[in-house]
Amino acid sequence: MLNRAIAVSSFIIFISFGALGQSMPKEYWKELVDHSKVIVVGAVEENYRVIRPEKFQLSPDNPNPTDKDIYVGRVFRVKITETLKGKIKTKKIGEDKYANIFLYWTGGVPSMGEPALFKGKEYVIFLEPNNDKELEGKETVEFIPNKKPIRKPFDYKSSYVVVNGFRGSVTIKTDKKRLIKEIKRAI
Amino acid sequence: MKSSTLFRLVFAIAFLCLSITSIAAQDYGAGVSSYTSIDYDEETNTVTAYSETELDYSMVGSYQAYVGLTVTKSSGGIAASGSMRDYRTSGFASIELNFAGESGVTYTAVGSHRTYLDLWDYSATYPYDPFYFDDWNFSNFESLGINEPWHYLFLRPAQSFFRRRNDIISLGTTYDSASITVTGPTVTISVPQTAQDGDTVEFRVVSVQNGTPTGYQWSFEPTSGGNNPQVNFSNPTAATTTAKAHWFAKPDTPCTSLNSTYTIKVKVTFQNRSPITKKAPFTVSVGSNWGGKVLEPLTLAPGGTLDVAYDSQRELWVVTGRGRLQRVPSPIVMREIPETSQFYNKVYRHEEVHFEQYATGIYSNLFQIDNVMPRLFQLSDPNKQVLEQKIFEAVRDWRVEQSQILDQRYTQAEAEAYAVSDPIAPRYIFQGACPR
Repeated sequence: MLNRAIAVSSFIIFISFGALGQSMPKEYWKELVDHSKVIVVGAVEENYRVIRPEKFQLSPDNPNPTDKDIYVGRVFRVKITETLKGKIKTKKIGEDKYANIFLYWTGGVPSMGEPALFKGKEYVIFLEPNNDKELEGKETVEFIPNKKPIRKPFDYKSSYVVVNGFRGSVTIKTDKKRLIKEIKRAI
Repeated sequence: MKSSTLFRLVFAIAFLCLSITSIAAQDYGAGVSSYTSIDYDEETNTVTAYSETELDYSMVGSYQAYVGLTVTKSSGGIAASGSMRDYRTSGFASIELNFAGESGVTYTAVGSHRTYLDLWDYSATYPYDPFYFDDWNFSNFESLGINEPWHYLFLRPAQSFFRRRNDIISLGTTYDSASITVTGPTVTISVPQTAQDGDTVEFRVVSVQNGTPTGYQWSFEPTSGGNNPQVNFSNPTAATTTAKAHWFAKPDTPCTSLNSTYTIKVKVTFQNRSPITKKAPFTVSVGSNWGGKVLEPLTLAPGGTLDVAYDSQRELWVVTGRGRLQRVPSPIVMREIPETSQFYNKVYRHEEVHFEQYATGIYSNLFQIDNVMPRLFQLSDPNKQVLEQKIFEAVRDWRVEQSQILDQRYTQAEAEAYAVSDPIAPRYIFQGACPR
C-alpha cells in the first residue's frame, strides 16, 4: 500500500515537473538550436528494430546471440507537422509527410542521457542527418504477433538522429504554441 | 586676414627660424663631440639615458659646455628630462637620467649640446699675456666680434679697443638622439580550452621571457553563481598547477546550459617591475550523452539450453522442461560519464532504481521464464537443430513483446527513478523537470 502511494505521488510530481519543464531560458533552446541542422514538430507513429542481419538467426558462427548482439537501435516513423529549422527529407503518404528518426536505443529504459520517442506522442525534435556508416547493411524488423518478422534493408542515409541526448526530443505536453514560440525565438 | 592664413604664416616663420638655427648649429658646432645613449636593464627594470657634450679641441679655461637631455615616450609624453652646464670651463658636461621602464614603450632620448667661448687673459698684471686661441675648428668667430683668427691679445682695460673679457660667445648647438623599446616580460600560459566535469586538468605558465618571475598566483572568475563555481588549484602559487574541472550552472536554473566557462588568470610577479596578469577561457562541459543504463534481464541458459527430448511416438524433437533457462539481471552500465564527475552518484542512484524495478518493482513480472515456457512447449520439429532455431526465434520475439510492455510503463518507471535522483546534488541537468 505504502509502495503504491509513493509510486503514485512520485508519478504526479514527475508529470507536474514535466509540465512546468516546457518553459526554458532562451540559452537552453539556443544550445539545442545551434547543434541541430533540422528542427521538426511531429508525432511518432511506428518504430522498428534495426538489426545486425547476421545475428538475427542461430548459426554455427552465431550460437547464442543476446539482444545486444542482435539489435543496433530503433527507427521511428514520425509524421512531420511543422519544420522549425532546416529542410528534412520526408516520404509523402497521402497528404502526410513522414521522416525516419534513428535512435541507438536497443532496449530497456533509455539511459538518463538518451533520447526516447514513444508511439502516439508528439514531440519537438532537434535533428541532424544520420551519417553513421556503421549502419550500412543493417536491416529493420517489424514484429507482428504470431507472424514471421518482416525484414527490410535499413537506408540509414534517409534517416536522422537526435542531437544533444535526451534534450533533443521534447515531448509536447501542455502549451504547444508557447513551446514552439520559445524555440523559434532562439532560432 | 583669415585665421588659417595667419596660422600658415606663423608656421612658415617658425619653420624658417628653426631652419636657420639648425644651420647655425652645424656651423658653430663642428668641433663639438656629442654622445647620447639610452639603455634598459631588465633585472632592475631601469631605463638609463645618458648624454654628454665635449669639445674635441679644448682650450682650458676658455670654453664652457652644456648638455640637455629629454626622454620622450612613444605616446608623446616626457618620461624624464634634465640638463647640466660646465661652468668650470672644462669643456665637458654630461647628464644621466634613470627611471622605471614601461613594457612596450619606446623611449627616445634627445640630447642637445651647446658650447660657449669665454675668453679672458690668464695674467692679472700688465702688460698682460697675450692669449692665444686656436681656431683650428672655429674659424668663423669674426661674426661674433673676434677678428684675429690665430691669436688674441688682451690689452689693458684702459685701451678701449679691446675689452679685457668678452661676453660669453655661443658656439652653436647640435642635437643627437637614441631610442630603445622596453620589451617587458612576456608570459605564455597553457590553459585547456575545454574539459569535462570531473576531469583533472593542468594549468601551466609555459614561459616567461625578458624577466625573472618572483611569484605566481592563479585565480578564476566567476566566483559566484549556480552550483558554486570553483577551480580548486592544487598549488595556486606555482608555475604549474592542476585542478578538477567543476561544471557550474549558467543561467542558474535546473535545466541549463551543458557548458560553463571560467576565466582562468595567473598573476606573475617580478622584482622592481609591475606584475603581469594573463587570462584564458576554460569551458567545463557536461556530456549530452552521459548517463547510465540497465538493459532488460537476459534470458540465458548457462552451460546448456532447455530440456529437449525426442518423442519417438510423434517422431519429433520437443521441449520437455525449462532446463537451465534463467532470467539473469543485467548490470548497471554507466555510459560516458566519468566516475569523477559530480553527477556520477546522482546518475548511478537513478539507474539503481531501474535495476530495482527489474528485480522487485514495476518491471519485475517482465522477462520471467515462466511466461515464455507455454509457447516453447508448443514447439517441435523432426530435426533437433531446427527445433533449437525455433526456440531461439520464439524467445527472441517474446522478448520484443516484453520490451513493448516495458515501454508502456516507461513514464511511471522514470517518475520513480527521478523521485530518488532529483533530490541528490547537483540538482541540475539530469532532473526530471527538464524537457525530454
